[in-house]
Amino acid sequence: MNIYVVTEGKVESIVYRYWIPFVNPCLSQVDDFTKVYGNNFYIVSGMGYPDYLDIIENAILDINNMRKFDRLVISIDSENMTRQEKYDEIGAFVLHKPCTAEIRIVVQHFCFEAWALGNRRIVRPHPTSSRLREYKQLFDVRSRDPELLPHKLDENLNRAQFAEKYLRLALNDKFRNLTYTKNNPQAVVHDKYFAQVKNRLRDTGHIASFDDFLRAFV
Amino acid sequence: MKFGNINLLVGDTATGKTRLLNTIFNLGRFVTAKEFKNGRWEIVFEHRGITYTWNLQTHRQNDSDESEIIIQEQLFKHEHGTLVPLIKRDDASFVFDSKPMPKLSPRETSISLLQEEEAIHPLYQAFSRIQRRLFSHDALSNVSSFQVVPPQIVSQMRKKRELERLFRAEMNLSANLFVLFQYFKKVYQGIVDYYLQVFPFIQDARIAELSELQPNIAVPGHCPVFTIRERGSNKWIPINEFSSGMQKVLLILTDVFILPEGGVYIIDEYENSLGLNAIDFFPQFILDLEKDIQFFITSHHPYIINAILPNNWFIFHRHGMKVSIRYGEELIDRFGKSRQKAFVQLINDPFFAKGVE
Repeated sequence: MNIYVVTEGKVESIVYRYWIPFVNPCLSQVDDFTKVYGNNFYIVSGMGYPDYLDIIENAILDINNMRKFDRLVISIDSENMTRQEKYDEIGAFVLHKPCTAEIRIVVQHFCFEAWALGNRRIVRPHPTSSRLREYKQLFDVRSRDPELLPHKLDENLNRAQFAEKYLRLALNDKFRNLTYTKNNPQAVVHDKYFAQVKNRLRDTGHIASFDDFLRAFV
Repeated sequence: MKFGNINLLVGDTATGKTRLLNTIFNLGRFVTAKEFKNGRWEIVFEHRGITYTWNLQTHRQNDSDESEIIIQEQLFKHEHGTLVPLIKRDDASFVFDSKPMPKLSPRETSISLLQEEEAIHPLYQAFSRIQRRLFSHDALSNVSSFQVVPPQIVSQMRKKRELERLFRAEMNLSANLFVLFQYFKKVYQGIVDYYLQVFPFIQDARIAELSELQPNIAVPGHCPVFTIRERGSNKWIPINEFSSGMQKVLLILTDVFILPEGGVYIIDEYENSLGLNAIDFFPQFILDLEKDIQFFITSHHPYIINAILPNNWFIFHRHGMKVSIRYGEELIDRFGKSRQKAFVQLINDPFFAKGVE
């Protein structure tokens, strides 16, 4: 099975290349989409530039032209929309665009960092950072579903920005010198981290949208 | 590296793009300003249809003395596939056109020393036509400030109308535009027409005298001020009150129109401070330009990158101290097979995406 993956942001273009083979070890990445043979995935990311629908449309043209891909996976943040609203938006966009491959939509609700906060081990019971203690008191991601994280308007953060800052503070508090940015998400790419996120979904039903990701690559 | 007429340098911040621009600019300074860097260069260049190879090696005499001297220099002309030596110079000898020369200053290139020689003069001219623009706030304020047009420029133009003289005068924008308006009407009109296309909200442009705008200030001679009038307004706005983006577009247009044929124009991240309406003028402008100018541009902007064909790209990547550059033409075949925009394919290419390692 060959999969053409379209992601919205830069972080997914980096993390997915590690996480997809954790879901399905048969799949390996190719950087050149003409080099797709069997059981490969190819990622094109919008890197945060506002041309995402255009990239989806061109991906469908590539797939129809190449006839080597079996599936198109579209990964996108729901941001300020509900998960269903985002499905509907993308679904409506691709509805009348014939594609020779099956299309799967992965809605990261509401961003990738919400999934990453699903790892219960990264937040210490007693953080040393006073800011992180404040966040934990406001919304403890170890016990509550990170997909329900609120905005943090007193810091001018929407929920996606809050999730990113929460994650960065947690990683930095737990592991000195370890940080997280969208350009450098190396802290979350390994298999143990992935396993913790997967376990969170299995054990608690939290980060339910992560199930889209797990199903998209099997 | 082999360069074409349009050279777009792309890559993450700190991958070495500006350093390359500096290197090209410095070559001109070696010849015209006698400012050397320590190192060794081998340059093949073409001017007026003739190809030359210039090898230059400099050496810093000692750590306390910061000035470099030339220890070896060779200049060859390419003729029917062979290299014909024009200059050979080292510590012991200096030979020009097969004739030994007396000992000459090692602090000056032979192209500069022999600039009056018929065979060398065009090369000196070529190296003096390398222009680089910086777009800091101060740099834009300086070129947009007012300046009395030197009387010798006016008298030179009256005798012989040569854009090259105007280029060498290195005047501010208003003074340049005044001289163009007086002596090169077509060039002036070309600049204004293009400018009005980029900013359609401008109704008209004209050159005013400073004394007309500010009667309290008396200056001897011409002190011109480029002004514009916006649609629906009667007020003439002087250049120093333009937005920085409007000053920048006017500066680029004027520079390129004045730069003599065979010139090199270098600009670093020109899109900074420009709105979308002004960003998109530049690729079309240089593609439409029917003038022999070589452009070196750096950009991070999707519009610019998409608008310039990948065969004009140079993609930068740095691993530690080692800078690698990939020619865009290597990507054409692969990029051509995908419907994704060139910029999207570029930012997803691992060589580009890894940027600095």
